[in-house]
Amino acid sequence: MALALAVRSLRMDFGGVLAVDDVGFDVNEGEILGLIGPNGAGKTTFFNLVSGYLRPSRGSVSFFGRDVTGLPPYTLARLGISRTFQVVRPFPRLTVLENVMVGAFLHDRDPRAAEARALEVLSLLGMDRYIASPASSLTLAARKRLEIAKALALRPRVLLLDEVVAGLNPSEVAGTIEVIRGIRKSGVTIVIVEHILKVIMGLSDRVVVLDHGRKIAEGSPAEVSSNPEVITAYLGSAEDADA
Amino acid sequence: MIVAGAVYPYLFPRALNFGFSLVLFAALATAWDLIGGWAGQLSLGHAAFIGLGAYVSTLLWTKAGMGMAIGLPAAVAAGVVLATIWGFITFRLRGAYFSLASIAVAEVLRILANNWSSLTGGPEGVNFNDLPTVLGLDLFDRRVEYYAALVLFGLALFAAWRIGSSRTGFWLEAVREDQDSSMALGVNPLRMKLYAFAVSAALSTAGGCLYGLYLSFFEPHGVFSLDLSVQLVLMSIVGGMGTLLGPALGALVLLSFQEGFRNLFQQSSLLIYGILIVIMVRFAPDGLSGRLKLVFRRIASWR
Repeated sequence: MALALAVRSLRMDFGGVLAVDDVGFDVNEGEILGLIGPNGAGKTTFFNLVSGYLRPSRGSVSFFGRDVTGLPPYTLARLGISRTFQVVRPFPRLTVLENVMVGAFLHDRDPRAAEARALEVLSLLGMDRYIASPASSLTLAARKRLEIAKALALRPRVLLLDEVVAGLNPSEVAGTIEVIRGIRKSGVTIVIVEHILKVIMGLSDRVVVLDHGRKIAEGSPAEVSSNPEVITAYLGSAEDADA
Repeated sequence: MIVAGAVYPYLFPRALNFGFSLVLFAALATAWDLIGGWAGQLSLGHAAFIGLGAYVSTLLWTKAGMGMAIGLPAAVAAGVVLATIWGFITFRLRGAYFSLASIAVAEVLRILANNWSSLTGGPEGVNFNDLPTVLGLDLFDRRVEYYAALVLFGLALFAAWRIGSSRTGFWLEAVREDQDSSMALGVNPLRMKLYAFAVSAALSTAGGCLYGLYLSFFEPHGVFSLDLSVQLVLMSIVGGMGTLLGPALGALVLLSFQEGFRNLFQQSSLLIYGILIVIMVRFAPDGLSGRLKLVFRRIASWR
Protein backbone atom coordinates (compact mmCIF):
# COMPACT_ATOMS: atom_id res chain seq x y z
CA MET A 1 0.00 0.00 0.00
CA ALA A 2 1.33 3.41 -0.92
CA LEU A 3 1.97 6.14 1.59
CA ALA A 4 -0.41 9.02 0.90
CA LEU A 5 1.25 11.25 3.47
CA ALA A 6 4.47 10.79 5.39
CA VAL A 7 4.90 13.38 8.12
CA ARG A 8 8.34 13.54 9.73
CA SER A 9 9.28 15.39 12.94
CA LEU A 10 7.07 18.32 12.05
CA ARG A 11 7.42 21.34 14.28
CA MET A 12 5.75 24.73 14.42
CA ASP A 13 7.26 27.31 16.68
CA PHE A 14 5.18 30.48 17.18
CA GLY A 15 7.89 32.62 18.75
CA GLY A 16 8.61 30.23 21.62
CA VAL A 17 5.23 28.51 21.76
CA LEU A 18 5.51 25.05 20.26
CA ALA A 19 2.10 24.48 18.69
CA VAL A 20 3.29 21.31 16.96
CA ASP A 21 6.27 19.57 18.48
CA ASP A 22 8.09 16.83 16.54
CA VAL A 23 5.00 15.12 15.22
CA GLY A 24 5.46 12.28 12.75
CA PHE A 25 3.21 9.57 11.34
CA ASP A 26 2.10 7.95 8.11
CA VAL A 27 -1.23 8.02 6.34
CA ASN A 28 -1.83 5.01 4.12
CA GLU A 29 -3.57 5.35 0.80
CA GLY A 30 -7.29 4.70 1.09
CA GLU A 31 -7.57 4.87 4.87
CA ILE A 32 -9.47 7.20 7.16
CA LEU A 33 -7.11 8.53 9.80
CA GLY A 34 -8.64 10.29 12.78
CA LEU A 35 -6.71 13.08 14.49
CA ILE A 36 -7.91 13.87 17.99
CA GLY A 37 -6.77 15.73 21.06
CA PRO A 38 -8.05 18.18 23.64
CA ASN A 39 -8.50 21.86 22.83
CA GLY A 40 -5.22 23.51 21.90
CA ALA A 41 -3.54 20.20 21.11
CA GLY A 42 -2.33 21.54 17.76
CA LYS A 43 -4.74 19.78 15.40
CA THR A 44 -5.68 22.81 13.34
CA THR A 45 -2.09 24.05 13.27
CA PHE A 46 -1.13 20.62 12.00
CA PHE A 47 -3.70 20.92 9.20
CA ASN A 48 -2.40 24.36 8.32
CA LEU A 49 1.11 22.95 8.04
CA VAL A 50 0.11 20.05 5.82
CA SER A 51 -2.14 22.17 3.58
CA GLY A 52 0.45 24.91 3.09
CA TYR A 53 -1.13 27.70 5.14
CA LEU A 54 1.84 27.66 7.50
CA ARG A 55 5.46 26.86 6.84
CA PRO A 56 6.85 24.42 9.39
CA SER A 57 9.80 25.55 11.49
CA ARG A 58 11.27 22.11 10.99
CA GLY A 59 10.39 18.68 9.62
CA SER A 60 8.89 17.50 6.37
CA VAL A 61 5.71 16.36 4.69
CA SER A 62 5.75 14.10 1.68
CA PHE A 63 2.80 13.27 -0.51
CA PHE A 64 2.96 9.96 -2.38
CA GLY A 65 6.74 10.05 -2.07
CA ARG A 66 7.15 13.64 -3.18
CA ASP A 67 8.48 16.25 -0.76
CA VAL A 68 5.83 18.97 -0.49
CA THR A 69 7.07 20.75 2.64
CA GLY A 70 6.31 24.46 2.59
CA LEU A 71 4.57 24.55 -0.80
CA PRO A 72 1.74 27.12 -1.04
CA PRO A 73 -1.89 25.94 -0.67
CA TYR A 74 -2.79 26.41 -4.34
CA THR A 75 0.10 24.22 -5.48
CA LEU A 76 -0.86 21.52 -2.99
CA ALA A 77 -4.46 21.71 -4.18
CA ARG A 78 -3.24 21.17 -7.73
CA LEU A 79 -1.18 18.15 -6.64
CA GLY A 80 -4.19 16.61 -4.88
CA ILE A 81 -4.30 17.71 -1.24
CA SER A 82 -7.48 19.54 -0.37
CA ARG A 83 -8.93 20.71 2.91
CA THR A 84 -11.97 22.16 4.63
CA PHE A 85 -11.96 24.90 7.25
CA GLN A 86 -13.18 24.47 10.80
CA VAL A 87 -14.70 27.95 10.63
CA VAL A 88 -16.65 27.54 7.39
CA ARG A 89 -15.70 29.98 4.67
CA PRO A 90 -18.11 30.01 1.74
CA PHE A 91 -17.82 32.79 -0.83
CA PRO A 92 -20.89 34.60 0.54
CA ARG A 93 -22.11 36.45 -2.55
CA LEU A 94 -21.76 33.49 -4.91
CA THR A 95 -24.45 30.83 -5.17
CA VAL A 96 -23.84 27.33 -3.87
CA LEU A 97 -23.26 26.07 -7.41
CA GLU A 98 -20.78 28.87 -8.14
CA ASN A 99 -18.95 28.17 -4.88
CA VAL A 100 -18.38 24.58 -5.91
CA MET A 101 -17.52 25.57 -9.48
CA VAL A 102 -14.58 27.63 -8.20
CA GLY A 103 -13.05 24.35 -7.08
CA ALA A 104 -14.19 22.36 -10.10
CA PHE A 105 -12.41 24.82 -12.41
CA LEU A 106 -9.04 23.58 -11.15
CA HIS A 107 -9.14 20.59 -13.46
CA ASP A 108 -11.86 21.65 -15.90
CA ARG A 109 -11.13 24.95 -17.55
CA ASP A 110 -14.33 24.88 -19.57
CA PRO A 111 -17.26 26.46 -17.65
CA ARG A 112 -19.73 23.80 -18.81
CA ALA A 113 -17.48 20.94 -17.71
CA ALA A 114 -16.86 22.68 -14.37
CA GLU A 115 -20.59 23.15 -13.88
CA ALA A 116 -21.24 19.48 -14.65
CA ARG A 117 -18.57 18.45 -12.13
CA ALA A 118 -20.01 20.80 -9.50
CA LEU A 119 -23.55 19.48 -10.04
CA GLU A 120 -22.26 15.91 -9.73
CA VAL A 121 -20.54 16.68 -6.41
CA LEU A 122 -23.57 18.56 -5.07
CA SER A 123 -25.91 15.71 -5.85
CA LEU A 124 -23.47 13.25 -4.27
CA LEU A 125 -23.74 15.34 -1.09
CA GLY A 126 -27.52 15.63 -1.36
CA MET A 127 -27.40 19.38 -1.87
CA ASP A 128 -29.33 19.64 -5.14
CA ARG A 129 -32.05 21.84 -3.72
CA TYR A 130 -29.56 24.54 -2.63
CA ILE A 131 -27.91 25.01 -6.04
CA ALA A 132 -29.24 28.50 -6.75
CA SER A 133 -29.18 29.81 -3.16
CA PRO A 134 -26.57 32.37 -2.19
CA ALA A 135 -24.05 30.68 0.11
CA SER A 136 -24.70 33.33 2.77
CA SER A 137 -28.28 32.06 3.18
CA LEU A 138 -27.37 28.50 4.18
CA THR A 139 -27.77 26.93 7.62
CA LEU A 140 -24.65 25.85 9.48
CA ALA A 141 -25.23 22.22 8.55
CA ALA A 142 -25.51 23.08 4.87
CA ARG A 143 -22.44 25.32 5.04
CA LYS A 144 -20.40 22.50 6.52
CA ARG A 145 -21.65 20.27 3.74
CA LEU A 146 -20.73 22.96 1.20
CA GLU A 147 -17.17 23.00 2.58
CA ILE A 148 -16.88 19.29 1.80
CA ALA A 149 -18.39 19.83 -1.66
CA LYS A 150 -15.86 22.54 -2.53
CA ALA A 151 -12.94 20.41 -1.41
CA LEU A 152 -14.27 17.38 -3.25
CA ALA A 153 -14.75 19.30 -6.50
CA LEU A 154 -10.94 19.50 -6.72
CA ARG A 155 -10.75 15.71 -7.28
CA PRO A 156 -8.32 15.32 -4.37
CA ARG A 157 -6.27 12.25 -3.53
CA VAL A 158 -6.03 13.28 0.11
CA LEU A 159 -8.84 15.13 1.85
CA LEU A 160 -8.27 16.92 5.16
CA LEU A 161 -11.55 17.44 7.03
CA ASP A 162 -11.45 19.91 9.93
CA GLU A 163 -14.43 19.43 12.27
CA VAL A 164 -17.09 18.89 9.65
CA VAL A 165 -19.44 17.27 12.16
CA ALA A 166 -19.13 19.56 15.18
CA GLY A 167 -22.28 21.62 15.73
CA LEU A 168 -24.62 19.39 13.74
CA ASN A 169 -27.69 17.61 15.14
CA PRO A 170 -27.67 13.79 15.37
CA SER A 171 -29.45 13.15 12.08
CA GLU A 172 -27.17 15.59 10.25
CA VAL A 173 -24.18 13.87 11.85
CA ALA A 174 -25.35 10.50 10.57
CA GLY A 175 -25.79 11.95 7.08
CA THR A 176 -22.30 13.45 7.03
CA ILE A 177 -20.75 10.18 8.25
CA GLU A 178 -22.42 8.40 5.34
CA VAL A 179 -21.01 11.02 2.97
CA ILE A 180 -17.48 10.59 4.33
CA ARG A 181 -17.68 6.80 4.00
CA GLY A 182 -18.84 7.28 0.41
CA ILE A 183 -15.88 9.55 -0.36
CA ARG A 184 -13.45 7.00 1.02
CA LYS A 185 -15.09 4.28 -1.05
CA SER A 186 -14.37 6.34 -4.17
CA GLY A 187 -10.65 6.01 -3.40
CA VAL A 188 -9.87 9.23 -1.54
CA THR A 189 -7.62 9.10 1.51
CA ILE A 190 -9.06 11.03 4.44
CA VAL A 191 -7.57 12.68 7.50
CA ILE A 192 -10.27 13.92 9.84
CA VAL A 193 -10.04 16.15 12.89
CA GLU A 194 -13.05 15.93 15.13
CA HIS A 195 -14.05 16.71 18.67
CA ILE A 196 -16.81 14.16 18.92
CA LEU A 197 -14.94 10.98 19.87
CA LYS A 198 -17.83 8.68 19.04
CA VAL A 199 -17.74 9.88 15.44
CA ILE A 200 -13.98 9.51 15.11
CA MET A 201 -13.88 6.12 16.73
CA GLY A 202 -16.66 4.79 14.51
CA LEU A 203 -15.22 6.20 11.31
CA SER A 204 -11.44 5.89 11.52
CA ASP A 205 -9.24 2.94 10.63
CA ARG A 206 -6.48 4.39 12.78
CA VAL A 207 -6.30 7.26 15.24
CA VAL A 208 -3.47 9.63 16.16
CA VAL A 209 -3.75 11.54 19.44
CA LEU A 210 -2.10 14.92 19.97
CA ASP A 211 -1.72 16.70 23.28
CA HIS A 212 0.10 20.01 23.76
CA GLY A 213 1.54 19.69 20.28
CA ARG A 214 3.01 16.22 20.80
CA LYS A 215 1.86 12.87 19.53
CA ILE A 216 0.97 10.80 22.58
CA ALA A 217 -0.64 7.78 20.95
CA GLU A 218 -1.29 6.10 17.62
CA GLY A 219 -3.22 2.95 16.75
CA SER A 220 -6.63 1.42 16.16
CA PRO A 221 -9.58 3.15 17.83
CA ALA A 222 -9.76 0.37 20.43
CA GLU A 223 -6.04 0.59 21.27
CA VAL A 224 -6.12 4.35 21.56
CA SER A 225 -9.22 4.57 23.73
CA SER A 226 -7.73 2.18 26.28
CA ASN A 227 -4.37 4.00 26.34
CA PRO A 228 -3.85 5.45 29.86
CA GLU A 229 -2.00 8.51 28.54
CA VAL A 230 -4.92 9.38 26.28
CA ILE A 231 -7.40 8.99 29.11
CA THR A 232 -5.27 11.28 31.25
CA ALA A 233 -5.05 13.89 28.48
CA TYR A 234 -8.81 13.95 28.10
CA LEU A 235 -9.97 13.54 31.68
CA GLY A 236 -7.01 14.92 33.60
CA SER A 237 -4.98 12.92 36.09
CA ALA A 238 -5.86 12.22 39.69
CA GLU A 239 -3.36 14.88 40.79
CA ASP A 240 -5.00 17.48 38.56
CA ALA A 241 -8.31 16.66 40.12
CA ASP A 242 -6.86 17.22 43.60
CA ALA A 243 -5.31 20.56 42.69
CA MET B 1 -26.31 50.04 -27.56
CA ILE B 2 -23.58 49.69 -30.16
CA VAL B 3 -25.90 51.10 -32.81
CA ALA B 4 -26.79 54.00 -30.50
CA GLY B 5 -23.07 54.63 -29.98
CA ALA B 6 -22.33 54.50 -33.70
CA VAL B 7 -25.07 56.94 -34.80
CA TYR B 8 -24.61 59.38 -31.91
CA PRO B 9 -22.32 61.81 -33.81
CA TYR B 10 -24.95 62.12 -36.56
CA LEU B 11 -27.82 62.68 -34.14
CA PHE B 12 -26.00 65.14 -31.86
CA PRO B 13 -23.17 66.70 -33.90
CA ARG B 14 -23.04 69.62 -31.46
CA ALA B 15 -22.68 67.47 -28.37
CA LEU B 16 -19.62 65.54 -29.49
CA ASN B 17 -17.58 66.60 -26.46
CA PHE B 18 -20.16 65.13 -24.13
CA GLY B 19 -20.39 62.01 -26.30
CA PHE B 20 -16.63 61.56 -26.23
CA SER B 21 -16.47 61.95 -22.45
CA LEU B 22 -19.33 59.54 -22.01
CA VAL B 23 -17.83 56.79 -24.16
CA LEU B 24 -14.29 57.31 -22.87
CA PHE B 25 -15.35 57.23 -19.22
CA ALA B 26 -17.58 54.23 -19.86
CA ALA B 27 -14.47 52.47 -21.18
CA LEU B 28 -12.30 53.63 -18.27
CA ALA B 29 -14.87 52.68 -15.64
CA THR B 30 -15.34 49.25 -17.25
CA ALA B 31 -11.55 48.82 -17.17
CA TRP B 32 -11.37 49.93 -13.53
CA ASP B 33 -14.08 47.45 -12.61
CA LEU B 34 -11.94 44.49 -13.74
CA ILE B 35 -9.59 45.01 -10.81
CA GLY B 36 -11.91 47.00 -8.52
CA GLY B 37 -15.19 45.15 -8.97
CA TRP B 38 -14.28 41.65 -10.11
CA ALA B 39 -11.10 41.22 -8.09
CA GLY B 40 -12.28 43.50 -5.27
CA GLN B 41 -9.07 45.56 -5.15
CA LEU B 42 -10.29 49.13 -4.70
CA SER B 43 -7.71 51.09 -6.63
CA LEU B 44 -7.86 54.82 -5.99
CA GLY B 45 -4.92 55.46 -8.29
CA HIS B 46 -6.12 54.69 -11.80
CA ALA B 47 -5.34 58.27 -12.81
CA ALA B 48 -1.74 57.02 -12.81
CA PHE B 49 -2.53 55.03 -15.97
CA ILE B 50 -4.53 57.83 -17.57
CA GLY B 51 -1.76 60.35 -16.95
CA LEU B 52 0.90 57.89 -18.05
CA GLY B 53 -0.93 57.25 -21.33
CA ALA B 54 -1.43 60.94 -21.98
CA TYR B 55 2.19 61.87 -21.20
CA VAL B 56 3.94 58.95 -22.91
CA SER B 57 2.04 59.33 -26.18
CA THR B 58 2.39 63.11 -26.18
CA LEU B 59 6.07 63.22 -25.27
CA LEU B 60 6.94 60.56 -27.83
CA TRP B 61 5.54 62.95 -30.41
CA THR B 62 6.84 66.27 -29.13
CA LYS B 63 10.28 64.97 -28.11
CA ALA B 64 10.93 62.11 -30.51
CA GLY B 65 8.61 62.77 -33.41
CA MET B 66 6.83 59.42 -33.06
CA GLY B 67 3.11 59.57 -33.78
CA MET B 68 0.20 57.69 -32.27
CA ALA B 69 0.95 54.56 -34.29
CA ILE B 70 3.95 54.09 -32.02
CA GLY B 71 2.82 56.26 -29.11
CA LEU B 72 -0.30 54.24 -28.30
CA PRO B 73 1.32 50.77 -28.14
CA ALA B 74 4.32 52.19 -26.29
CA ALA B 75 2.06 53.83 -23.71
CA VAL B 76 0.02 50.64 -23.27
CA ALA B 77 3.23 48.65 -22.75
CA ALA B 78 4.38 51.20 -20.16
CA GLY B 79 1.00 50.89 -18.41
CA VAL B 80 1.27 47.11 -18.20
CA VAL B 81 4.83 47.32 -16.85
CA LEU B 82 3.76 49.88 -14.25
CA ALA B 83 0.80 47.69 -13.20
CA THR B 84 3.00 44.61 -12.86
CA ILE B 85 5.56 46.33 -10.64
CA TRP B 86 2.91 48.21 -8.67
CA GLY B 87 0.82 45.07 -8.22
CA PHE B 88 3.76 42.93 -7.24
CA ILE B 89 4.63 45.31 -4.43
CA THR B 90 1.19 46.32 -3.17
CA PHE B 91 -1.04 43.26 -3.67
CA ARG B 92 0.49 41.90 -0.48
CA LEU B 93 -1.41 44.67 1.26
CA ARG B 94 -5.06 44.04 1.92
CA GLY B 95 -8.20 46.14 1.86
CA ALA B 96 -7.77 49.78 2.75
CA TYR B 97 -3.97 49.54 2.73
CA PHE B 98 -3.95 48.62 -0.95
CA SER B 99 -6.25 51.56 -1.70
CA LEU B 100 -4.06 53.99 0.23
CA ALA B 101 -0.95 52.74 -1.53
CA SER B 102 -2.67 53.21 -4.89
CA ILE B 103 -3.31 56.89 -4.11
CA ALA B 104 0.39 57.22 -3.43
CA VAL B 105 1.38 55.76 -6.81
CA ALA B 106 -0.67 58.32 -8.74
CA GLU B 107 0.62 61.10 -6.50
CA VAL B 108 4.23 60.09 -7.06
CA LEU B 109 3.71 60.19 -10.81
CA ARG B 110 1.97 63.56 -10.55
CA ILE B 111 4.84 65.03 -8.54
CA LEU B 112 7.34 63.53 -10.96
CA ALA B 113 5.57 65.08 -13.95
CA ASN B 114 5.30 68.35 -12.07
CA ASN B 115 9.01 68.60 -11.25
CA TRP B 116 10.77 66.98 -14.18
CA SER B 117 10.24 70.12 -16.20
CA SER B 118 12.90 69.47 -18.81
CA LEU B 119 10.98 66.42 -19.97
CA THR B 120 7.37 67.09 -19.10
CA GLY B 121 7.11 70.84 -19.17
CA GLY B 122 6.40 70.78 -15.43
CA PRO B 123 3.33 72.48 -14.01
CA GLU B 124 2.78 74.40 -17.23
CA GLY B 125 1.87 71.14 -18.89
CA VAL B 126 2.26 69.99 -22.45
CA ASN B 127 0.65 71.19 -25.55
CA PHE B 128 0.63 69.28 -28.76
CA ASN B 129 -0.76 69.87 -32.16
CA ASP B 130 -0.25 68.93 -35.82
CA LEU B 131 -0.07 65.18 -35.19
CA PRO B 132 0.47 63.12 -38.35
CA THR B 133 -2.68 61.48 -39.62
CA VAL B 134 -3.18 57.78 -38.93
CA LEU B 135 -4.68 55.82 -41.84
CA GLY B 136 -5.63 59.13 -43.36
CA LEU B 137 -7.61 60.21 -40.28
CA ASP B 138 -7.09 63.56 -38.63
CA LEU B 139 -6.68 62.75 -34.94
CA PHE B 140 -7.86 66.19 -33.86
CA ASP B 141 -11.21 65.69 -35.52
CA ARG B 142 -13.67 65.23 -32.66
CA ARG B 143 -15.56 62.65 -34.64
CA VAL B 144 -12.42 60.53 -35.12
CA GLU B 145 -11.64 60.81 -31.43
CA TYR B 146 -15.19 59.82 -30.59
CA TYR B 147 -15.03 56.65 -32.68
CA ALA B 148 -11.61 55.78 -31.29
CA ALA B 149 -13.11 56.00 -27.79
CA LEU B 150 -16.06 53.90 -28.91
CA VAL B 151 -13.68 51.20 -30.15
CA LEU B 152 -11.89 51.29 -26.80
CA PHE B 153 -15.21 50.95 -24.98
CA GLY B 154 -16.01 47.96 -27.19
CA LEU B 155 -12.67 46.39 -26.30
CA ALA B 156 -13.24 47.01 -22.59
CA LEU B 157 -16.68 45.42 -22.75
CA PHE B 158 -15.27 42.48 -24.66
CA ALA B 159 -12.53 41.99 -22.05
CA ALA B 160 -15.05 42.21 -19.20
CA TRP B 161 -17.38 39.77 -20.94
CA ARG B 162 -14.60 37.30 -21.66
CA ILE B 163 -13.33 37.43 -18.10
CA GLY B 164 -16.80 37.37 -16.58
CA SER B 165 -17.89 34.27 -18.45
CA SER B 166 -14.74 32.22 -17.87
CA ARG B 167 -12.78 30.54 -15.12
CA THR B 168 -10.81 33.75 -14.61
CA GLY B 169 -13.99 35.60 -13.57
CA PHE B 170 -14.95 32.93 -11.04
CA TRP B 171 -11.46 32.88 -9.59
CA LEU B 172 -11.30 36.67 -9.36
CA GLU B 173 -14.60 36.66 -7.49
CA ALA B 174 -13.31 33.93 -5.18
CA VAL B 175 -10.27 36.09 -4.40
CA ARG B 176 -12.55 39.07 -3.74
CA GLU B 177 -14.89 37.10 -1.47
CA ASP B 178 -12.28 35.25 0.56
CA GLN B 179 -8.66 35.31 -0.49
CA ASP B 180 -7.49 32.73 2.05
CA SER B 181 -10.06 30.11 1.27
CA SER B 182 -9.65 30.63 -2.48
CA MET B 183 -6.07 29.37 -2.12
CA ALA B 184 -7.35 26.03 -0.80
CA LEU B 185 -9.23 25.63 -4.08
CA GLY B 186 -6.13 25.99 -6.22
CA VAL B 187 -6.35 29.73 -6.87
CA ASN B 188 -3.14 31.76 -6.80
CA PRO B 189 -4.46 35.17 -5.65
CA LEU B 190 -1.38 37.21 -6.60
CA ARG B 191 -1.43 35.82 -10.11
CA MET B 192 -5.15 36.45 -10.58
CA LYS B 193 -4.90 40.02 -9.30
CA LEU B 194 -1.86 40.78 -11.44
CA TYR B 195 -3.68 39.50 -14.52
CA ALA B 196 -6.78 41.62 -13.90
CA PHE B 197 -4.64 44.64 -13.06
CA ALA B 198 -2.57 44.29 -16.23
CA VAL B 199 -5.65 44.09 -18.48
CA SER B 200 -7.22 47.01 -16.63
CA ALA B 201 -3.99 49.00 -16.97
CA ALA B 202 -3.66 48.34 -20.71
CA LEU B 203 -7.18 49.62 -21.36
CA SER B 204 -6.78 52.57 -18.99
CA THR B 205 -3.49 53.69 -20.52
CA ALA B 206 -4.98 53.51 -23.99
CA GLY B 207 -7.83 55.62 -22.64
CA GLY B 208 -5.23 58.05 -21.29
CA CYS B 209 -3.76 58.46 -24.79
CA LEU B 210 -7.20 59.37 -26.15
CA TYR B 211 -7.81 61.69 -23.23
CA GLY B 212 -4.54 63.52 -23.92
CA LEU B 213 -5.47 63.78 -27.57
CA TYR B 214 -8.90 65.12 -26.69
CA LEU B 215 -7.52 67.73 -24.28
CA SER B 216 -4.52 68.43 -26.54
CA PHE B 217 -3.26 70.62 -23.71
CA PHE B 218 -2.94 69.21 -20.22
CA GLU B 219 -0.96 69.51 -16.99
CA PRO B 220 0.03 67.01 -14.28
CA HIS B 221 -2.67 68.18 -11.93
CA GLY B 222 -5.39 67.39 -14.44
CA VAL B 223 -4.49 63.92 -15.69
CA PHE B 224 -2.96 62.47 -12.51
CA SER B 225 -5.59 63.82 -10.11
CA LEU B 226 -7.25 61.92 -7.30
CA ASP B 227 -10.50 63.44 -8.52
CA LEU B 228 -10.18 61.50 -11.78
CA SER B 229 -9.47 58.22 -9.97
CA VAL B 230 -12.40 58.74 -7.62
CA GLN B 231 -14.75 59.41 -10.53
CA LEU B 232 -14.00 56.00 -12.03
CA VAL B 233 -14.58 54.27 -8.69
CA LEU B 234 -17.83 56.12 -8.24
CA MET B 235 -19.11 55.24 -11.70
CA SER B 236 -18.60 51.56 -10.91
CA ILE B 237 -20.19 51.83 -7.48
CA VAL B 238 -23.19 53.76 -8.81
CA GLY B 239 -23.72 51.45 -11.78
CA GLY B 240 -22.84 48.19 -10.04
CA MET B 241 -19.43 46.69 -9.37
CA GLY B 242 -18.46 43.38 -10.90
CA THR B 243 -21.14 43.58 -13.57
CA LEU B 244 -20.73 43.85 -17.33
CA LEU B 245 -22.75 47.02 -18.01
CA GLY B 246 -22.87 48.57 -14.52
CA PRO B 247 -19.77 50.80 -14.85
CA ALA B 248 -20.94 52.18 -18.21
CA LEU B 249 -24.37 52.89 -16.73
CA GLY B 250 -22.63 54.65 -13.84
CA ALA B 251 -20.62 56.75 -16.29
CA LEU B 252 -23.84 57.80 -18.04
CA VAL B 253 -25.55 58.78 -14.79
CA LEU B 254 -22.59 60.58 -13.28
CA LEU B 255 -21.59 62.51 -16.40
CA SER B 256 -25.17 63.57 -17.08
CA PHE B 257 -25.31 64.81 -13.51
CA GLN B 258 -22.08 66.73 -13.94
CA GLU B 259 -23.27 68.22 -17.19
CA GLY B 260 -26.55 69.31 -15.60
CA PHE B 261 -25.02 70.87 -12.51
CA ARG B 262 -21.74 72.01 -13.96
CA ASN B 263 -21.33 75.09 -11.78
CA LEU B 264 -22.05 73.15 -8.65
CA PHE B 265 -19.50 70.47 -9.56
CA GLN B 266 -16.71 72.93 -10.20
CA GLN B 267 -16.97 74.18 -6.65
CA SER B 268 -17.55 71.06 -4.64
CA SER B 269 -17.15 67.89 -6.69
CA LEU B 270 -15.60 65.85 -3.86
CA LEU B 271 -18.41 66.78 -1.50
CA ILE B 272 -20.97 65.59 -4.04
CA TYR B 273 -19.02 62.36 -4.65
CA GLY B 274 -18.96 61.74 -0.92
CA ILE B 275 -22.70 62.22 -0.57
CA LEU B 276 -23.31 59.97 -3.59
CA ILE B 277 -21.21 57.18 -2.09
CA VAL B 278 -23.18 57.34 1.15
CA ILE B 279 -26.50 57.26 -0.70
CA MET B 280 -25.46 54.32 -2.87
CA VAL B 281 -24.07 52.27 -0.02
CA ARG B 282 -27.19 52.92 2.05
CA PHE B 283 -29.90 52.38 -0.57
CA ALA B 284 -28.40 50.36 -3.44
CA PRO B 285 -25.25 48.53 -2.35
CA ASP B 286 -25.34 46.47 -5.57
CA GLY B 287 -25.49 49.60 -7.70
CA LEU B 288 -28.17 50.81 -10.06
CA SER B 289 -27.91 47.73 -12.27
CA GLY B 290 -28.61 45.56 -9.22
CA ARG B 291 -31.61 47.75 -8.32
CA LEU B 292 -32.92 47.65 -11.88
CA LYS B 293 -32.63 43.87 -11.91
CA LEU B 294 -34.76 43.70 -8.76
CA VAL B 295 -37.35 46.03 -10.25
CA PHE B 296 -37.56 43.97 -13.45
CA ARG B 297 -37.88 40.79 -11.43
CA ARG B 298 -40.71 42.30 -9.43
CA ILE B 299 -42.51 43.45 -12.57
CA ALA B 300 -42.11 39.99 -14.06
CA SER B 301 -43.52 38.34 -10.95
CA TRP B 302 -46.64 40.55 -11.04
CA ARG B 303 -47.79 39.01 -14.27
